[in-house]
Amino acid sequence: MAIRPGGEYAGRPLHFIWLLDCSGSMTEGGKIQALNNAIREVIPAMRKAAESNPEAQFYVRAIKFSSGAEWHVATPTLLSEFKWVDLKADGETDMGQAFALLSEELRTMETNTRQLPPVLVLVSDGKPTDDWKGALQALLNVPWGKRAVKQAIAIGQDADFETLQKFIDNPERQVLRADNAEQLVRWIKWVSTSVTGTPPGKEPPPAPAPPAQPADDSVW
Amino acid sequence: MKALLERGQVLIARGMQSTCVIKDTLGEGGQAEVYRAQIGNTEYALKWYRPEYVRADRRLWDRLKEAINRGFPTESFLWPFDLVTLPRSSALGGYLMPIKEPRFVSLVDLLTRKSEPSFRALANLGFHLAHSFLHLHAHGLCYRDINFGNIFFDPTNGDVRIGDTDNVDVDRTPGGIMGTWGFMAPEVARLETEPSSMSDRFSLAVLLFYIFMLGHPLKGKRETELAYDGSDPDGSRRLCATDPLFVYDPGNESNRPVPGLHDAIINFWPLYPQSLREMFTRGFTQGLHDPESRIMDNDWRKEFARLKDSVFYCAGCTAENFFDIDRLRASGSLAPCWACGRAVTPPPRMRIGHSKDFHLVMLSPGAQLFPHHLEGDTYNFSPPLAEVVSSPFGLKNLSRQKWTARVGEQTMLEVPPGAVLKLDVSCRIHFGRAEADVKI
Repeated sequence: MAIRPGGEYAGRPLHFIWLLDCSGSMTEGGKIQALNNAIREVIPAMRKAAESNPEAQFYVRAIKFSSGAEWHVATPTLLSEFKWVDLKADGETDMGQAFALLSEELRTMETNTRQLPPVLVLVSDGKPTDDWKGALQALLNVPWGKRAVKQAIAIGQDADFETLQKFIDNPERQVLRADNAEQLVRWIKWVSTSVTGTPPGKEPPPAPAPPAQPADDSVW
Repeated sequence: MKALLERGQVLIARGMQSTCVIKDTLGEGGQAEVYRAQIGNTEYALKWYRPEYVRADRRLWDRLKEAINRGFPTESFLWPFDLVTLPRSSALGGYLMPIKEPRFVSLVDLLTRKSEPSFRALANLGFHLAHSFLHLHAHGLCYRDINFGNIFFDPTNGDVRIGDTDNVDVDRTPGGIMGTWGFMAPEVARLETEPSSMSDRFSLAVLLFYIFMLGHPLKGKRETELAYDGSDPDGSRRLCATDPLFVYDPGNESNRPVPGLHDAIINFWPLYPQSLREMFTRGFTQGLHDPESRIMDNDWRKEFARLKDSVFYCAGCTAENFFDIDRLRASGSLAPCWACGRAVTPPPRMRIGHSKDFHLVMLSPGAQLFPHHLEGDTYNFSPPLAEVVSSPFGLKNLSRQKWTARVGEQTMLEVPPGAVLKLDVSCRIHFGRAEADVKI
């Protein structure tokens, strides 16, 4: 091996946080299994996209919400070491509590650092069952909550598109709708790799058009 | 997720009028997927676009047809050579290009230290990049999006492959890709002008700085001091477009690399010859604001050809060092070895030619002489005509021509092809067209 001086290119930390709906309705039609599968399937693609983007150093975490909200993966984990543990679905849709948990975390992050704005991805199939409005406003009032790049994926037609759009907080970015497992993988892959593969300061590519609707009964 | 094309699917290469069969997937991105495709017994890469991208990029097929008609500028470019459709369809969907061999890895591996090429290989990489873009620009084309995501290199020797050639367009054509943040010339990033060969030259300088210093030329202390601005969340616009400042600007120290954050730049910068550092300094001070002051491709090419010849190995720790003639002339000594700190005495070396444009080659084991050095055939680096061997230390004649060497006042030695001229004392060698003085 050649002898060369030390020092590596100093990428800037970027926190990527999933907010995942694990309410009882996610048990219907294999939605929770599809979500677990989609995230597991997308991790190698995220790693690959991140490899081509040394400007950012990705740390991944996940919050799950059903009756209450808690960290599913609490430690910011380097993408290269991130492993997915399956979620189980049961209970209500306490999205507001997930927002509260997230804002508590973002509030503790220092604002004057080289850190890049976090990426927050919300995935849900239903309407919030708790008081989400105040919690979302609190999240958007936290500096890193306001600055974060927010994206939302609606699973099926019963998702609350209006709430998800409010979470995104950007009229130019639309809620992505997944009506079957294949579309869910497609959107999860798109939101994660378009961010991990995009150098900071560059707008991720526009969302591709959804594929044609399948005619079979796998539609959620 | 469903791929755009399926394994075994048959498509039509329009120009060749032949069928090509899809093998496996080589890669995928926002715009397209790339497959291994077979025509006859030969494998190629096929880039097949997503329909929404084809709809958005209206000049895509015009650019590709232009590129195909002109032909590749150098073999380093993974250049389009035919357009492809589905059978019984006239709608173009993708193009064919040479396949990238597995020996080529992403430049990102260099930044993340996954790949540790020698300095000699890096000098070669710099040379190939400058040579390739010189030919592209000479064709009246510009690349528009030079960045480390679309350049690949062989860590063992610095050979290069340049992908994403579908962005290449006739110089100064409006529309099309503007570039990648951090690589775009400031005037392009400020949207004042379209990308051109002059903005390509800025991007090339950024790429070379990344390759040699493992950092960004405009991201130093200021990167840590920027206040958050929602319209410029990561500060790229201020650092690279509206208020750029070179990290080693001689007249302004406020953006110097920060220890702990930019260690690589701090460690690498001082060990290159002054001439290379001056080129970067010129490119990122005058060249930052005045496109006409940017370093031309040929100047980079010349510098990297020189840099290859200036590599020698520390007698104490074997680390590669660079012979800095400007420093030797100014101070009478070379810098201590960057790796072990030991004082360095000027190594055995050879000066070929007597004109102002002489070649100065360090006689380090493995160093080679080419038609570039010995036959006046500038930048022809194959095949080698001579090679420095280590035991006994000498110069092996790999050419078909006999050399003669004068040692001292009287002794004349003949060096037939295949023989080794021992280099134990200073001498003068006649290679035929060229003459060289050896200093031991």
